[in-house]
Amino acid sequence: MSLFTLHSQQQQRPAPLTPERLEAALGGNLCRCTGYRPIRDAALSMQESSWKAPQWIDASQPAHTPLTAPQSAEANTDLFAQPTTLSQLTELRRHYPSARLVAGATDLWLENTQRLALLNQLIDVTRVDELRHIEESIFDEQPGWWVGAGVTYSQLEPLLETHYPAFAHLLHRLGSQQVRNRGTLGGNIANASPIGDTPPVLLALNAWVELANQDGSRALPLSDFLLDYKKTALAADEVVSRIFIPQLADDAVLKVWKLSKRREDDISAVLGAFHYRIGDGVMQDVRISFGGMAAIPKRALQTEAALTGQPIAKENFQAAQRALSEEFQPMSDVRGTQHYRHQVAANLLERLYLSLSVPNQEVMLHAYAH
Amino acid sequence: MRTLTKLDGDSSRARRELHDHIQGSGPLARHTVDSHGQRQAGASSFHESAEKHVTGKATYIDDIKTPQDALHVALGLSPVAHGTLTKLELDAVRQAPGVVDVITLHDVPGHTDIGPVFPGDPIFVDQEISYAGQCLFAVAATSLQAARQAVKLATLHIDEQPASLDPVAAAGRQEVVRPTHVQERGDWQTTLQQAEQTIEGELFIGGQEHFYLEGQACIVVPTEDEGVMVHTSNQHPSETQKLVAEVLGIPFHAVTVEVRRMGGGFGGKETQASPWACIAAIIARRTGKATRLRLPRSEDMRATGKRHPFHNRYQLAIDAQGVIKGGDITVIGDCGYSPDLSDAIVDRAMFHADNAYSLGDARVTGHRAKTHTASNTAFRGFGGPQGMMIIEAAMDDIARRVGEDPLTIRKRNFYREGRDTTHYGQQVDQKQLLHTLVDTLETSSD
Repeated sequence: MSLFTLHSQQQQRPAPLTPERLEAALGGNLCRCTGYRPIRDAALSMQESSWKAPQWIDASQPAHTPLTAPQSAEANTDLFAQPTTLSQLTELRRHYPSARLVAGATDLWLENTQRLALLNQLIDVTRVDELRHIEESIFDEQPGWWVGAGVTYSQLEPLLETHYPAFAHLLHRLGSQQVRNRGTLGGNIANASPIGDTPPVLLALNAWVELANQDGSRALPLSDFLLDYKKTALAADEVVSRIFIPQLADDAVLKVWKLSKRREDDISAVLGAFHYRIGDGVMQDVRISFGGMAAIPKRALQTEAALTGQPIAKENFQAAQRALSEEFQPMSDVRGTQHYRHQVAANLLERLYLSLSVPNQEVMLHAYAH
Repeated sequence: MRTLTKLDGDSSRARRELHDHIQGSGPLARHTVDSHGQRQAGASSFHESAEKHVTGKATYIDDIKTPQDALHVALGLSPVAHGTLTKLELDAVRQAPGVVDVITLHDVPGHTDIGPVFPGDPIFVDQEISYAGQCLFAVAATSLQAARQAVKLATLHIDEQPASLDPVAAAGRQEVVRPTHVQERGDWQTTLQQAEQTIEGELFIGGQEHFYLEGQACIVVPTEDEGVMVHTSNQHPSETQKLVAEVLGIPFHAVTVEVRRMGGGFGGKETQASPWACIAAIIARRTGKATRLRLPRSEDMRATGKRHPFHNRYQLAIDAQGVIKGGDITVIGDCGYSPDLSDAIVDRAMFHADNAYSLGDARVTGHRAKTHTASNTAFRGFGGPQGMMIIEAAMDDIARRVGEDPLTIRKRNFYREGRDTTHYGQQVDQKQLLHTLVDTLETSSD
């Protein structure tokens, strides 16, 4: 068991070490010798003693000299390139159409270690400047933020904490901090997994995806980007460059609930994201999406229709539950049977109803309750 | 760790070391002894490799450098739990890029059974497949990737048969890896028949993966005179020395086994680190090259045994105060396909079936059920926890039955004067400790 994550956490975002921050840093570690309590106690007590770096610490940072692609290489040779600009990246993409893009590698590496894929052509996108920024902007007449595809979950966290607390809360349940330090928003989207944790939320937020190639870029709604199991609208010469996340309207609410076998560091069985406003006593701008319920993260359009323009009443949510059970045919796998997924997705609607029907009562299940 | 329990007052060096220690410096600073040479409870001290661990300089098996031409081994594991291997087609494996050697049971020069205490663990499957993950063949190649790729090219012909996976049913059919043991004291049948009341229950305790930090790993380097040097992450190096020598058919003195650092064991490397050393040793001797064998975690989990799951049940005679007068307890350990250490582990569960309580006139029966899973093995507690759980569950059941606090029931049943002989006939001394300890805990706890 190591405290390296804690070390890098304190370096990147220095702040008083609270039990919550410590637990986030310890997530993803498995202790087999001592037990977690003494480790936790020791870490928390570090603040009480002044830190003096022991002599054996090597504080030097590794040098980064990006590797550029060989100029005249054949398209089928081994490749490892580290472009630093979007134009270099799209040129490489065009020249090596079968190369794999790698950012955090939190999913890609499994193809090598578990499925023994060779991965002999890799383009590392983590040094591409244009992919690393978060920019406040207006797009499609909506205020919001363009987030570079290479922005990691950890880098995204401050923005989400300020503007989308429910989304930020989800991050704590997405992988471990080590994974969140590596994994990127663009990777999570381009990967097109049926159970990727951010796409259902981004669908409920009406997010857009920008795709770039040598000739320029195009933007399309995320719902048009995700086509089928592991299939996207990405052309062979394109890369995901940015994601636009619209700002929530003042009276809009976002709720995100993830269900998994383990609280931390686990893949969702079902994830539900709910966006709505209450105006004139009825639900408006209802956008509901699910992960784990279809071959791709998907909006529940029939379910939304059953609630849109309706007052908060049990019979309307029962109608929504019926619509939900009709519009999805989830699969059975190790994370849940079809029956289980139908049941818990309907239960999330029930949870939403309960949270709305008891005013001023925040239904936010922290800690082990979810 | 060296502990300074006896210091010669005339030894200036010892005095200096002790002084250094008390000052918190010098080579013995990590030792926790006071000026009288007594160990201080509660004092913390650094692990001797702490700095190397946190700086990544500690050398685990897979960090050991080997020559450029070292070979990497990957294993072909059975995809089915039970069946007959009728044909093993390995030509494509042999011809795969980078492959240097492929071995099966027929290539083992010496012993083919590497059971640690009792026979029953073939180094490779001959015909009968006994669990999913059992080793069928091994491939040595110039890289781990090449070896793992080549394994996939094998064609296995297996006549699959139904697997027996329920230890209770297996014990009922007398399918056991070792004979059933019984510990008996007094006329427990009459006690049960004449009891004021009886209570019974059963419980199941699941298995547990060891999850040692470094997986099963070894490096075997051929040495002169047909010998081998074995670097292994291993809790029982002398047994590995014996097994490697027997498998190779060479004298024990030709085998050197070194364990620099464990990387976690918890029982999982007591007997189950040896097969990999034996396989790598065969390849090292056949090829004359240093040979590395590290199981990928997913294969490690399939190929090696875990903590024994147990099915336990009890029937106890109790009086109105909830004091046990006698009874009958059965523990069934799911041993997997072979004895390994299961005989001693199920015995340990039986020995702990009383935990701290007098069972009175009692019988404890322990079955060693044989199932088609990896051979379950040592794991911290070695059967003890699984035995204690049944009587602790019984204490809670009794408390509910007689309507009293579970701690009160436990204290009433502690070994005490007049009730101080275990079900296996041992006289318990220092009985007062139990009472003092629990009374102290009760008054000092939150």
